Amino acid sequence: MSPPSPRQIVSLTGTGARIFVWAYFGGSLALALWTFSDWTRPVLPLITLALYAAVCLAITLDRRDRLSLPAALAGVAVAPLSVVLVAWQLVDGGYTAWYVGEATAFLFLVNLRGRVLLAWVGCVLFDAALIVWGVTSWAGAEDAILTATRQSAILVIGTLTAVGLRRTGRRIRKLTAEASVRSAAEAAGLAAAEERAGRLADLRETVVPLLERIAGDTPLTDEDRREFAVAEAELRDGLRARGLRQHRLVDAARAARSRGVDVVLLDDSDPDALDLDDLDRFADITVAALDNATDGRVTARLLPPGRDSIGTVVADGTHYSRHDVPRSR
Amino acid sequence: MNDSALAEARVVRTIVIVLGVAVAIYALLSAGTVLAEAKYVHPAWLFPAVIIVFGVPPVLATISGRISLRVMHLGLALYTIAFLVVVVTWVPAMRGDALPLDAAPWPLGITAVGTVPAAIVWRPAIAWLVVIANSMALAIVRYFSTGALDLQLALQDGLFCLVFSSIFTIVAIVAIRNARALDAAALTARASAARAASVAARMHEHARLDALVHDELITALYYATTDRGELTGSVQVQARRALDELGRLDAERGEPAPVESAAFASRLRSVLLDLSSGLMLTVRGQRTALIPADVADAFAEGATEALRNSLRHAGGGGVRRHATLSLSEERVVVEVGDDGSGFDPHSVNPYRLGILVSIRGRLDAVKNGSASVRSTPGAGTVVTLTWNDR
Repeated sequence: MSPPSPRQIVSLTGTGARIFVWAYFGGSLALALWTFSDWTRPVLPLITLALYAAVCLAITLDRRDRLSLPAALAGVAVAPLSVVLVAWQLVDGGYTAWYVGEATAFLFLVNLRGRVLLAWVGCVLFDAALIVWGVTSWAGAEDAILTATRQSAILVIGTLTAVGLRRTGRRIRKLTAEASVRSAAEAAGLAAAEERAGRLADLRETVVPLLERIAGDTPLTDEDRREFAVAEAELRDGLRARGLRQHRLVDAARAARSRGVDVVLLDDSDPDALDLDDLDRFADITVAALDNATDGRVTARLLPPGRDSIGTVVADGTHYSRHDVPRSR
Repeated sequence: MNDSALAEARVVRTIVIVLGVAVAIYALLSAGTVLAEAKYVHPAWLFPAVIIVFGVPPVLATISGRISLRVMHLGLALYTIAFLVVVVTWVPAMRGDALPLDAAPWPLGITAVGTVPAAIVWRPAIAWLVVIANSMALAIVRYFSTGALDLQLALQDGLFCLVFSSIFTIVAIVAIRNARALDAAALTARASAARAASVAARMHEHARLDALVHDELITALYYATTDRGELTGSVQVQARRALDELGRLDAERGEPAPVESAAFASRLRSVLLDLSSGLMLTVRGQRTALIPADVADAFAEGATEALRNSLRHAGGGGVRRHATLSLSEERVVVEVGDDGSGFDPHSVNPYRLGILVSIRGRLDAVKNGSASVRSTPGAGTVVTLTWNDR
C-alpha cells in the first residue's frame, strides 16, 4: 500500500470505507423494513430507500478524495428529500431514526470528502424540512427542533474533524520535512566526525611527529629530509592513488623511494567497478616492480573503467619493463 | 516529540480535541434529558457517571498537547471501559420506577463518545467489538429501563446505535491507519535522507581533509625536504601552521554557523592577502541571505589554492592577477585569475594536484557548488568557483 499524502489523513475512498457505506445502508434498510408497519403509504419510503442506494452507488463509485459535484449534490439533496418522502407517511409515534440517521450520514460523508459548504447547505434544508414536518404533524415543533439540532451538531463534529485533520495533515507534512532535515544533519555530522577522527588519527601517527620535528629548533639532517621526502610522497600517493593504499604496496614504495627510486602511483579507476582479484594481481606486479627497481622511476597507474587493462606498471631505470595488467572479465 | 510516531500523535490529538468539543456540545444538548431522567436513578451513581462521561473527554482534549501518546492511550482506554461500565450499571442504579417508553436512557444518544476512543487505542477488530458491546448493552438497558415492555423497540434502538456510532469509529480507524502509514513512510524517507547525507558528508570531509593534506602537510614536508638552511624560518612557520590546522580540526565539533556576506568577503580578502599582499579583491553586487558555513569554507580554501597555484606556476614578476567576488541572492561566484603562462587543462602534470584535489574536489563536495578552470598555454588561467543557492 502506498502511503497517503498528509492531505488524505481522512481519505474515505478505500475498500474498507466503501464496504462501510454499503453496510451502513444495510443497517438503515433493515431498520426501515423492520418498522414497515409504521408506514401509511409504503411506496414513498421504498422510493427513498432506492434513492439511498443510488447515492451510495454514486459515493462509492467516485474514487477521488474530493467528492465530485454530482455525487456530492446527490448526497446533499437526498437528505431533505427523504424527510419530504417519508416523514408524513409515518403513523403517530412511528420510527424515524433510520431515515434521519441515513440522511445525516450522507451529509457527514459529503462533508468529510471535501464538500463542507455543500453539506451545510443540505443540512439547513434537512433541518428546515424536519421542523416543517414537526410543526405540521404529530411529532411537534419541540421534538423536531431538538432532532434537527442534534443532527446539525453531528455535522459540526464532522466539519471539525474534516478541517482539523486537513490542518493536521499540513502540519505533519511540515514536521516530517523538518525531522528529515534534522535526521540528515545528524547523520552528516556523525559521518563527518567519524571520517575526520579516522583520518586525523592516521595523520597523528604518521605525519605529526615529522611536522613537530620541522617546527622544532633542532637542525634538520639529510636523513630527516629523506624521511620527509618519503612521507610527502606517501601523502601524495594517498591523494592520487587511493585504490593502491595497501600495506605491502606502501612498504614496497617506501623501500624503493629510500633507494632513490622515483615512485609515481596513480589511480584513475572507479572504486565501485574494481574487481578485488584484479586489484590483487595488479598490486603483486607493482610490488615486484618496486622491489626490483634500483634507480629511475616506477609508475603504476590504475586505468579508468572501460579499458582492456586494469592498469599499467612501467619501470624506467637501468632496466625497462612494462606490464599491461588485463582485466579478468 | 518522538519522530517515529509524529503523524499518529498529531492525528490522535486532533481526534481527541474534536471528541472533547463534541462531548461539550452534547453535554448541553443532553442536559435536559439527563435532568429529566435523574429521578429514576440513584444520585450516588448519577453524579460520578455524568462527571466521567461528560467531563473526561474535554479534560483529555485540554491536556492533549502536554501528554505523551502513551499516556493519552491510557486515558482513552480507561474512558472506554468507564463508559461501558456506566451503560451496564444503568439498570442496577435505577431506584425502581421504569422510564416512560419514549424516553431512552441518555447514554443512548452519545454512544459514539464511548466507542471512538477504542478506535484510537486498539486495533480495528477490538474497536468494532467495543461498538457491538456498547450497542448491545444499550439495547438491554433500553429494554429493562422502560419496564421490559417493548423488546422490539429496544433492539431497533440497539441496531441504530450500532450503525450510527460506527460512522465515527470508521473515521477514527481510517485516520489512525493513514497516520501510521505516513509515519512508516516518513521513517523510510528519513533513513534514506540520512544515508545520502552521511555519504555526502563523508565525501565532503574527505575532500576537505585531502585539501588540508595537500595545502598544509605536503607543502610543509616538501619545503622541509628542499630546504638547505636558507628557508628554515618560513618552513618552521609552515609546519606550525600545519600542526595548528590539525589541532583546529581535532577540536572541531558540530556544524559551524552560516556567515553574512560582509564577513564572507572580509575572510576571503584576508586569506588572499596573506598569500599575495598586492592582490585586491573586487566585490560586486550584494546579498542579504546568509552563506552556509561549509560553502564559505570551501570558497576560502578553493580561492586560496587557486591563488597559490597561480603564484607557483603562472610565472615571474610581470604576471597580473585578479580576484572577484560576485554576490547575489541566487548565487555566489569567486573568480581568481592571472595572465601568466597558463597550461593545457587536459594534460595536467600529476604533481599539480592543487586544481584537481583542492579546488574541484572541495567545491564538488558542497551542495550546488562547482569549480571550473579555464586555461590556455601562454594566455593565463582563470579559476571560477560557483555556488547556486536554490
